[in-house]
Amino acid sequence: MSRAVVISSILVVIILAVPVVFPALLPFLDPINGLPGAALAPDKYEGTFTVRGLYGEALVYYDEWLVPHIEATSDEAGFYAVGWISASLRLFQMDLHRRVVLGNLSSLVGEAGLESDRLSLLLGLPEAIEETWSIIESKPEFSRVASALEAYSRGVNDYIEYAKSNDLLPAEYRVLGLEPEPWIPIHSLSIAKLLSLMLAWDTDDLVLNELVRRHGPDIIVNLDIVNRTRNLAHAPCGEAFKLGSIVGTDSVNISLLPPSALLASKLSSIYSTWSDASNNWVVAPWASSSGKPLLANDPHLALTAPPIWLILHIKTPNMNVAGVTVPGVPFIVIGRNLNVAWGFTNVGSDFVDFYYYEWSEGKYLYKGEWMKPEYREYNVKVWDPMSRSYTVEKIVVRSTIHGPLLEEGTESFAVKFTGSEPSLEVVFIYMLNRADTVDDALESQRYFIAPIQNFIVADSKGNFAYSPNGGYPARTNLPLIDTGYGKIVNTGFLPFNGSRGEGEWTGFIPLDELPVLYNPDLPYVATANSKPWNGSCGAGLGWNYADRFRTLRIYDLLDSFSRIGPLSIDHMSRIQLDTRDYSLEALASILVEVTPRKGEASLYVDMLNQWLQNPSTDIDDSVTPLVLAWTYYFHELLWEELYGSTDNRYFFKIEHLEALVDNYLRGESWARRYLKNSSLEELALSSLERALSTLDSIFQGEDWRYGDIHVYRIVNPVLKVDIAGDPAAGGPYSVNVAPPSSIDPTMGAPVSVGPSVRLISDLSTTMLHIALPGGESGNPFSKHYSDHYRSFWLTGEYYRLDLEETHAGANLVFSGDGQGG
Amino acid sequence: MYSQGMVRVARSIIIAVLGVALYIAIVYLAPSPLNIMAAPVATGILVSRSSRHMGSLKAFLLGAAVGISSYLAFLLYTGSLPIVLTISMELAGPLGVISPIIYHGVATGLVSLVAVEVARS
Repeated sequence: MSRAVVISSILVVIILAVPVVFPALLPFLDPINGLPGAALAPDKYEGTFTVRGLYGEALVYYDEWLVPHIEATSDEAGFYAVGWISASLRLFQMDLHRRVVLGNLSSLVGEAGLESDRLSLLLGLPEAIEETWSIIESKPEFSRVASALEAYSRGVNDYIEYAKSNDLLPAEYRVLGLEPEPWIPIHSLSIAKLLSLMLAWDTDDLVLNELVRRHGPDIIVNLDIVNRTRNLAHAPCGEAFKLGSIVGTDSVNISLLPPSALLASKLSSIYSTWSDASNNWVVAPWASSSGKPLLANDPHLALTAPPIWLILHIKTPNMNVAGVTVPGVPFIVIGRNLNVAWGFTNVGSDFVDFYYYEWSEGKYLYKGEWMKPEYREYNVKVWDPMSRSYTVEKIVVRSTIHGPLLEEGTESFAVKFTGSEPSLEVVFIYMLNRADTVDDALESQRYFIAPIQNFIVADSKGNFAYSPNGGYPARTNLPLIDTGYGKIVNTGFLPFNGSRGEGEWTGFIPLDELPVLYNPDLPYVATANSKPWNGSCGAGLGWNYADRFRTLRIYDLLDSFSRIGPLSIDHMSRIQLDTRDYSLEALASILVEVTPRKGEASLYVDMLNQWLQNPSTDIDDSVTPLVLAWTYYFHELLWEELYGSTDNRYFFKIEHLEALVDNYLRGESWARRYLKNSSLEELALSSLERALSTLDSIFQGEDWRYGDIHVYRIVNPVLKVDIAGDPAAGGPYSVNVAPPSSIDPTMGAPVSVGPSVRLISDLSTTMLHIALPGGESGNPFSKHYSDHYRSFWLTGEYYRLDLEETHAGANLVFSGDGQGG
Repeated sequence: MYSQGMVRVARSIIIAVLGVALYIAIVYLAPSPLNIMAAPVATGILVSRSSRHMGSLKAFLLGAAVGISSYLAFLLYTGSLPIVLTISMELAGPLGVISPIIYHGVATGLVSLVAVEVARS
């Protein structure tokens, strides 16, 4: 045999051994079981499935946009079908999300998930979920919710088995070399808890702690950090309750505040891709063209592919409800039924407190007694997709009497978080799905703790309400802080001295004591993460609210449209799509005022001035790139001066910046003292220089065009494929929000946060208008992966769903042979 | 009538098409990763039936063409080619894009070459 044959034979053996030696290459090498094979999964499933032990029958009709309409003869069959269908559309996403809260994300995605796991386990989220399930399972009044969660889990698991046996697993599993584990009701609760983590968790107390350590406690008053007098409240206190004055105890010694910069920096990078802004508003029946309330909502979250939300329509003998859910939750989270529509925006209150201690020989001091921290240990499996094997990482959590300890270097704080408590959000959502009136909806809110939302609700009888309520921590032993302006009470915005027993939680403020608007004498109520109440009824409930700009713009638009005539669905849509950004205008005005008019700077100040005459953020505008980049760097440089680094820059609200600049220009000594290294004028010039340098790098001598740098990026977290790349109008505080995640010479200003869904309801009809930034399918090979994004969301159109529409010819039938219970 | 050369070409084409079919059938039916190891071997041997008259290089190239065609035929059939290329590039760079082409092509081509040489000897 020739030498060539021998060599060729050896090469054959070597090449054929590649998949065994490098299993990570299998997804690319194997067309059927690897990545390309995912294209074989159908969009719509057809046929009849007999389900043993299931009571009732569920029919599934997909429409042309792959939205499933589920009609069932029993709740059990309905939620079974919801589980099966949700898994068929978004199985990997459900798996990914359940693991974030359960603290086993790294057993799916590898080391990238380890920090997230560490934090979830430290916060005790898995234990809180288990406790929640034992409450739901054991109390007879929650039996319907428990049955729904069990039926849903069964549906998910039956789909998983079906997918495994028919080679239909999603592309992500093929790439990672894993298979999904079974679903249990706790996993649905973990998805609900995920919303708490996304919306209620923050470490701003630690950032403020660092600011106070650098500049003294007066900065809290000087920058108006807690009172937020520049903010625009959503609604007047009216005749709501009075919380009463908050009385502080002994003054706190500010010099005892320990450093927190390392922790604040590290923790801000975990879950950093999420955002927590939103808009919603309700129009009174007498201000509406239909004579019934109008309700609009667009929650602002990370724009991902597939999108965070899934559109569903569920009809059972007990409910006819449609809207969006987070896949993994059996119920509609935002939407409407035949009689009630509702929406949420996040309340920027304070649901996380931190405690520091005196330590000695591994013990911490608590009210005069040295105590040993408690220890918990977790073994986390970490998947390595390259070697297709697990390693085990041990995570140790130390806890004090107040909660688990967050530790980084020499920094150590115990943390108390509302999301770590067992809570019944799914009960709230379930009851909301079945509510007949606004009263029912408000009653269901009794089960809601976190994340506290600006809850807006309206019914077909013409009632409407606003209730920004949930689990506000009731704190005791609040310390006073001495400032140059007098004493202020630390209501939780700064870490507490745990050794002195400060700021301990005694439970939650009773819901009956919190203010609610119910059929107020107002034509509309709008919320956009600003402070809820104008007046004393909201005092002490929070401080970390979003800047006023979106709230102001929504009210301005509602005012101007209503001056012409009654408000309609079309007006709701125009408001949701509005791209004017008051924050850019406020910052541009400041730059015009403070930038020295010398040399080249004068030219750019004139450009800004001209832009302010017609402040467009359209994609074709040629000045907006300069406005965005210059204001972005100005904000960043000012923050760097104040904080010592650019970490946690999101903390620095524009209203804080305005307070600093106004006082600086008035000649206040503290304002000049805060800016130690550079004057305001120098910072304006430096930021202009950086902006011009960045724009030069991006445009390379071409004409500036906003849509060339400000571009949507909607990416699959595992497969990295981007469905967007389209120019984005608007800015960080437009109603149609489009904040750049950064601005740099290579990436431009990518936008990966925005309206995660837009919804509008007119209570005079049974219609729901929805725009989703993606598609129903989680399969990147499907045409329904991005069809809603292209056809509705991006173009400003809406998918229309009629709750009363009848369907013919079910695609799927789940037929049970069980008996009703 | 037909020349011997034309018959050979026609035979090669038929065997190449059969090779693609065999390749895809094995990839479909056998479990992973056995499927992608068995497919080049079986297909390479089949293709060698039509390439005994060829030189080693031509035998290799015919086998490689059948291997690559089989992989691409599947991607074209499912309409997944552009997305597979995008994802492969994002996740593994050029290696992710090229490795399946090299693997299926070179493996089938080499098996074909070896089979031809063994048959000749």
